[in-house]
Amino acid sequence: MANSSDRQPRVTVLNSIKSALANKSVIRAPLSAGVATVGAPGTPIPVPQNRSQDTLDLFEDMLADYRARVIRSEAGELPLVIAGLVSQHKIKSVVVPPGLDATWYQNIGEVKVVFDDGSIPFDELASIDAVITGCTCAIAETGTLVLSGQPYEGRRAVTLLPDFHICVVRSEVVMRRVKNLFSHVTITDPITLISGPSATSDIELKRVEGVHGPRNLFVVIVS
Amino acid sequence: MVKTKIGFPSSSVRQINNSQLRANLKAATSAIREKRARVVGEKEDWEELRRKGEHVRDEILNNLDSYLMQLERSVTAAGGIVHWARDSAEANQIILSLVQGHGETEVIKVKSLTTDELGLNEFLAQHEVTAFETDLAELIVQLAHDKPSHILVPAIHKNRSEIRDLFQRTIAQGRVLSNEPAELAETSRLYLRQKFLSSKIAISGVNFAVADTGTVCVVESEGNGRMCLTLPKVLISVMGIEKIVPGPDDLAIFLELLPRSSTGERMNPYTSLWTGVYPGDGPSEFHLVILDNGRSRVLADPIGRQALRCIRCSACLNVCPVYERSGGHAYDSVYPGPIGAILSPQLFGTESSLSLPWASTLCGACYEVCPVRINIPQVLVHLREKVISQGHRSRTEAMSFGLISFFFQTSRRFELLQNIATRFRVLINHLHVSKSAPGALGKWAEARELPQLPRETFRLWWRRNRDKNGK
Repeated sequence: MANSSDRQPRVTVLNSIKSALANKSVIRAPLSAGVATVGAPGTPIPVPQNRSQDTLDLFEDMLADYRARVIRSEAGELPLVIAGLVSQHKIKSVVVPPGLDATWYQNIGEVKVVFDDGSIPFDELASIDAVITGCTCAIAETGTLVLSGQPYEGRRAVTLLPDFHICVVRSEVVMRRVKNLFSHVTITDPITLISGPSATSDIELKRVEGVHGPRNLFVVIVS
Repeated sequence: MVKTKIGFPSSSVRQINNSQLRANLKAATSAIREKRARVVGEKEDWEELRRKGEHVRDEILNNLDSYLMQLERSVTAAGGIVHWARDSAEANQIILSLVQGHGETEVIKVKSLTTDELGLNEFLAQHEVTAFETDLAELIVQLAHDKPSHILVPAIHKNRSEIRDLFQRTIAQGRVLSNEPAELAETSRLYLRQKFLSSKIAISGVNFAVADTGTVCVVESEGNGRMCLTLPKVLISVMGIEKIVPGPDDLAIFLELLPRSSTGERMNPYTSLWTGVYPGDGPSEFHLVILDNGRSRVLADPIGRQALRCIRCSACLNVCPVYERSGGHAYDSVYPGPIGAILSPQLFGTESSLSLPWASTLCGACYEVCPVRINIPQVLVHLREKVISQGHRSRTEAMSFGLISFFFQTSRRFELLQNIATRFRVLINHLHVSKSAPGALGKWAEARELPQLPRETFRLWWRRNRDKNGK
C-alpha cells in the first residue's frame, strides 16, 4: 500500500503540524479520550429544556414532525399493528433480520417473508417491499432511531433498500437527549441514525420525502 | 482595498447583475435562516453547546499531531488502511491508484467539499475514471457542467424550472417531467439506483473522525450516503487533518450543533458511523486518506487558525448580506461565503483569493451563528492586515489614510480641516462627488453618497450655545 512504501508524506505532515504548534503559547495537554465531560470554559447555562413534556410524547411529536408515521401499541397488540400496516399499504414481501422476534410478524398472512442470512444479493433486497426491525435505542428530542447492527436490526443494507421500513421501538430505550447517545450504543458497532424518511431540500429548499433510502418510515412504540 | 486584477470585486459584479440568481438566493437563504433560528431556539443550552464545540475543536487543534497518530492507530486496529497526503496531487494519486488497482473505471461519490478542493472528479476523468455524484444537488451541478455555489445546497442558484429542463435533457430516459420537486427527486432516484447496486468503489468525505475509537461519521439527508457507504466493496474516505474529535461524547456535541446550524433540522435524516470494516456488513476494504493541503500552514497563524474549527455547516453563508447578494460563485473557491473568505486565502493563497478578506461588511452576523464560535470578523481584519503588509497595497488608499490620520491626530488639525471645508462648502456641495469622478474617488462614490456640508460645524455650534447659556 502507498502508506507503507512511502512514509514521507506522513512524516512531513506531522512535522509541519508540530512546528506550527511549537511557535506559540499553546497548552499541550495529554491526550484525553474525550474532553466533553471536562466541560467548557466560561459560565455554563444549564437550563433543561421542556422538562414538562413526557419523553415519549416528545419522541412521537418529533417523529411526526419529520413525517414518520407513529403508532403507540401495547406489547400484546404488536402482531396486529404490524399486520395492519402491511395490509394497509399492500406490502407483498418483507425481509426480516435473523434475530427478529418471529411473533411480531405472525399475523401478516400470505405476505412473503424473507429471512436475511447475509447472503441475499442487493438487487434482490431492493425488490422487496418492506423491512421490519427493532432498534437499539432512540432519541426523543430529535425523533431519531438508532440502529447498530444487532441481530434484531440486521446488516445495514436491509434497512436501506426496501421502500418501507417498519421499526419497533420499546419505550424503555427512548432517551431524551442526543447527549446521552453513546452511553446507550457502542460506538464501534455499524451505526445508522435515522430521523424521518430519506429527504432532500436541494430544489428550492422544498423538503421532498423519499430519495434513495426508504420513502416510508413507520415507527411502532411499544410499552 | 487590496490591489488585484481578478477576484471578488469583479466577479461579484457579474453575479449581482444576474437577477434570477439573486431571487433564488434571497428566497433560499431567508427560508433556511428562519428554519435555523426556530430549531436553535428550541435548545435552551445552545450557548453552552457552542462553547463546548469551540473548546473541543481547540483541544484537537492544539494537539493535532498526537490525535492524528491516535486516529491512525485506531483505524488500523479496526481493519482500515490509512494514507497520508501532503497536497491535492498526492491525495488524487493515492485515490487513482486504489481505483486502478481494482481495475475499475467508475466510482460513485457522496457529496464532499474536500474532494471538490482536490479537483478529484476532473483528475479522475483525465485518467479515464468516471466519478458519479450521487447527492441530488451535486448531480444537478455535475450534469450542468456547473460549479457548486453553496456548501450545503450546491445548486442553490438554480430554480425548479431550470432543474427540470436540465433533467429532461440528461437523465429523464424518455419520460416527460414536470417541475415538481418530488418528481425531479424521483427521476434522480431511478437514474442512480442501478449505479448504487452495481458500483464496486465509493468515495466519500468525512464529517468527523473519532481519534479514540477510529470511528468515522458522515451526515446526510437523501440516503445516497448510506448507499455509497454500505453497498460497494471498497470505500475510500478523504478527510482534512482537522476533522477529528477526541472521543464519543465529543462527537455527540457536534451531532447536536451541526444539523441545527446547517439544514435547520433537529437531526438530519441519516447519520452513518463505521469503524474499520465489519464481516458481512458493508465494504470489505476501507481506506482513509488524511489530507494536509495547506492546513498545517494555517495552524501556524494564532489568529487565522480558528478557521480550522469549522465543521462546514454553512450557517455563516445564510446570514451573510454579502453572500446573499453575490452568491457563491463570486468567491471563486470551493469554500464560499464568510468562512470561505477566511479559509480560501489561508489555504490556497491564490491571487483571486487575496481579495476575499474584503468581501465582507464586518457586520458580525457570521460570528453570532457559528456553532464553534469562529470569530470571522476578527480573522478578516487580521487577514486584510496580512495581505496589505505583504505588499498588495493600493497607493491611493494608503495616501488617503495617511492624510486622514494626519488630520485626525490633534483637535487643532481636525478643526483646521473643518474650517477649510466650511469655507468652501458651497463649492464642495455643488460638486456632487459621483461615480463619474476620476479614479478611486469615482469607485468609492459608486456605493456611497457624501452628506451635504452644514453651514456651521458641531464644534462651533456647541461653543456658541454653551457661551449663550452661560455654562
